[in-house]
Amino acid sequence: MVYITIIICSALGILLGLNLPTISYTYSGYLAIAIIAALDSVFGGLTSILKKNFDIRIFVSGFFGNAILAMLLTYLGERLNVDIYLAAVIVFVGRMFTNLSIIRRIYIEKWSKKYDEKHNAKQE
Amino acid sequence: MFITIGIICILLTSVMFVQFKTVQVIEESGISAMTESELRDEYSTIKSKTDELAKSLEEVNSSIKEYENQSSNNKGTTDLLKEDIQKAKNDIGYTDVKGPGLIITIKDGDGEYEKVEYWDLLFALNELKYAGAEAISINDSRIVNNTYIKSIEDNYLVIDGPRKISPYVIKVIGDTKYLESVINIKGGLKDEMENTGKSISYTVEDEVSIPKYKGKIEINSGE
Repeated sequence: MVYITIIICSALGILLGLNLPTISYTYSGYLAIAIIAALDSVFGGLTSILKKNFDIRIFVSGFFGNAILAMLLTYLGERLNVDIYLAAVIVFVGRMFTNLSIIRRIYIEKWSKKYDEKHNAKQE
Repeated sequence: MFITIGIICILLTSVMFVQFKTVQVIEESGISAMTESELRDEYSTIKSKTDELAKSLEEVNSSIKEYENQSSNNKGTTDLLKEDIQKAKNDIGYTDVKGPGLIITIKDGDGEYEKVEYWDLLFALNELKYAGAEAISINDSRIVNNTYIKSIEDNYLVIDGPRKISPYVIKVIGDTKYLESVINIKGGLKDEMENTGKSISYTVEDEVSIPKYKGKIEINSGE
């Protein structure tokens, strides 16, 4: 059910995005950093689902909070003439990799357990 | 919960695709993707190049003058010829000129459709020529007989190459009385600009100096 919602809504989002007008170059940098922050929240959410401690409130607040904070930091960096957005990119992408590795580990453990069970059942 | 996740999915994917589209457009359009420092470098190199070219132009001009001087041994006729040449140069706009005239400033209005368009400037030029203008320049571009004013992608205007932006300062030499009258007359330049939301002002000067035409007039096809 969740997967169906995700697929349908993603398809809707793609259609909507293709029909929306493009934004100006000045703001595309902010949008990019917000996308990275949002993707990080999505991977964090996936990990927490697998760990069975997923909380929709934490997910939603992180999704919007991270995006807005990242944009604000980028704006501040622009004012200060420091590329602060690089720090945000490093943190978010680094976390994405960590979360991916956690997801990978959980699935590999699951599959290897199943394989072992089957193997043992055959032997007995 | 499904609704929240659904909304977030729509939001994320739509924003991502808007960004993809934006990046694609920026890559196609080139210059707007350059960073500020890149643009600065570009600007400074172009500027030094133009300085160099101006210098070499000066050199060429001085050597031409030398040749003219050398060939003027045969005084009487060459003097006459020189006078003729000078007069012809004046007529076509190859010399700086000074004289009494007007300085007119036309500015964009605040509204979206109140920008000064090329037809406004062409209208102004036509009116001024009708009033007997002898020499005209717009933002220091001399108006000569093959001058063009064109709008590029509805974004900005070019006059004989360089790009011009509001405010447009039109310097004109001629009989100030006639020139003033075409501006102030009912349905004249002032009415026309103010009715379409642009602002216009002018001052009468005893001496207006108008620069020479910087391009080259070439006639290849006609005889």
